[in-house]
Amino acid sequence: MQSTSPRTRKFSFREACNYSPSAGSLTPSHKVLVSSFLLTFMIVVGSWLLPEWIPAKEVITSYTGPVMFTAGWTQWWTLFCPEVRNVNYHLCALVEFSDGTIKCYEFPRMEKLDLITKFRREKLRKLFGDNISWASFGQFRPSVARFLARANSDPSNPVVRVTMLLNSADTPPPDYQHWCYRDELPAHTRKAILFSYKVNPNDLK
Amino acid sequence: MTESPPKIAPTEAPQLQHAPEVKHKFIDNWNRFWFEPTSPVAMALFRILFGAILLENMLIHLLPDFDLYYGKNSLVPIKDMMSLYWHSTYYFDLMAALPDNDKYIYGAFWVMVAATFMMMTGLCTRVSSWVTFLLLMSFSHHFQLNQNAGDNYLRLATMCLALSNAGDALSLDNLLKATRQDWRKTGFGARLSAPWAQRLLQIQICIAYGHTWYSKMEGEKWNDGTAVYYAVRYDDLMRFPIPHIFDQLPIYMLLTWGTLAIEFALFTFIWWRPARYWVIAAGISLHLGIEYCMNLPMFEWSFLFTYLLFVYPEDLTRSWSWVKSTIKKRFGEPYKLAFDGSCILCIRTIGLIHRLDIFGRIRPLDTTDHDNDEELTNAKLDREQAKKEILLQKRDGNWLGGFKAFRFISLRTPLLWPLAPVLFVPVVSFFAELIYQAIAANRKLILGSTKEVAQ
Repeated sequence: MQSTSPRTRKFSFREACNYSPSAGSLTPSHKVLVSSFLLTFMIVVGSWLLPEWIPAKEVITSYTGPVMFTAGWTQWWTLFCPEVRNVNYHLCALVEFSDGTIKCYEFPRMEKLDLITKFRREKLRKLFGDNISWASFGQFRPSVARFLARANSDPSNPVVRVTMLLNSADTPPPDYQHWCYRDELPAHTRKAILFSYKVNPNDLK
Repeated sequence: MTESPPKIAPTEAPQLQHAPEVKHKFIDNWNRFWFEPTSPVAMALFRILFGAILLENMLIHLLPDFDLYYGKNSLVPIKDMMSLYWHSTYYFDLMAALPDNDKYIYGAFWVMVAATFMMMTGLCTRVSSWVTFLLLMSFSHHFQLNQNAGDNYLRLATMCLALSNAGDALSLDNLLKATRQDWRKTGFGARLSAPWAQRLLQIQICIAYGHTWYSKMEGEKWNDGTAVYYAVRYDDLMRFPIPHIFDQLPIYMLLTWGTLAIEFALFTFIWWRPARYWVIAAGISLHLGIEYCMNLPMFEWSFLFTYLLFVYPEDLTRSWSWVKSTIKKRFGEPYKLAFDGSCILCIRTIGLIHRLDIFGRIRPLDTTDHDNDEELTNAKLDREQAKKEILLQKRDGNWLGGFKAFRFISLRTPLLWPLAPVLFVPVVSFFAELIYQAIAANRKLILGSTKEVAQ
């Protein structure tokens, strides 16, 4: 039971339980305003999510992109796609001091953490595992190196270089003859230098 | 046989005549979809559950490493973030305007937590949800590197909540408003309103499923059926073990293609009423499966809770009625609560109790309503006493009055449980009894209710 007209008779308790008042319809101008907002949202977001091969995408997003970033409508829905990765990895850093000593710092390794810690610190996985490790976020590596240098430096023995290493192992492909169960994955033994940063004295201030 | 000339004109002419009709039909459908008043209960339920996820995000996932992300000596200072990520784009970040001191950043964080809690409980819902949205957006722009698709979804859904009328039901706002209302005029139902923000969130989740489905269709491993085999072998995301008996290629192939089918249905068939609940059930099993195998906090639950928005209002009502009837079967008939229908204070009190009594354990009976005469007489109600205070009938047939009745109700109404122990403290109950009696004796003087009720 619902109504938009002003009521004259009062409800009994039973009637009141089944009655919902209505705010009524929006005014035409309100509808136009809201519809404009909705269309803007759909055009801005829709153009951003267009496939890359559409030639006009770059032109369209040059107009719609700024609106999206400023309004907080940014979105990516490409978890596990288009390709699922077939490699496991973790990151570590070699912190070299002026006297030649090298300290190895291992970034948090999710696979080594217990369930609760892993749950709580998931953002660290995103930060170090999903972002800093990949070339698309490579521009941030100097900032991370400077942070590590500051965190480890000693005035009498300052940090002079920070080198990031990627330790990885390929996931064995599905093969009936050599089936690798989920709990038998190979250790991350392959190593590659990801980035090396020479620390300036100014970085330590 | 000769070919007859194509009859273009006669077929085109009616189409042209129908064009305005089609246009009108489109506008009608547009208005119906976005603006036809509907119940805000689904959005309100979503607000509560989603608020809990936001709090989880802030207090469990962000707070432990807060300084690393947002502190003055953070991993990537804001100056670097601006030059390396923002470039010339304008990102909204309230913290960039704050003085360069950690206490302001912490202050903004705790304001966001408080606003989220208020949004969840429905206190100043509109304002609190806007504050939550703006601060959530600020924190995500301030340090982009810990943000994932789940964070994007939290931000977008919070915007939709801020634009919606989610505070019109199941909220403290609604409860406070009810204390000033006469339910005999307004009814108890939540106010129906244009659901465009709810629809926007429905569209948003379909955009997410549509985009992820399309991207997956471009992937080789999704097409050859091995994608789930690899996905569950991300060792940094593993949660619970998969028994070896299920760790088999045919099962992974089934799950890979099943994922594609379910995600396709989640942005297409979900709009077809006969299929909607089946699609939702498939979506729930997909997300719960991921939740079991993988450690992706917030992501699965924020999507799962959004499915609530696809439940038709009448089905929500029916489901809740089923819950109430199940409780009734288990715990017996609701308790009768007699009140004086000529007293506005009693009416408001009953309105408040009824709104808090979500499981329908109390059945108010207006002593001035002649429809209730027989039932109240059979229950041996003292009508003179009922004019002085609210009366509740216990299982043994005896009536409890005033404060004692309220205390009895507090034990049977889950939303009042936090208050119940306090009401049993002897000093509190002594003074509460006195206050109740004083108010009850002077209620018509205080509220001038006789006149209002007579109108």
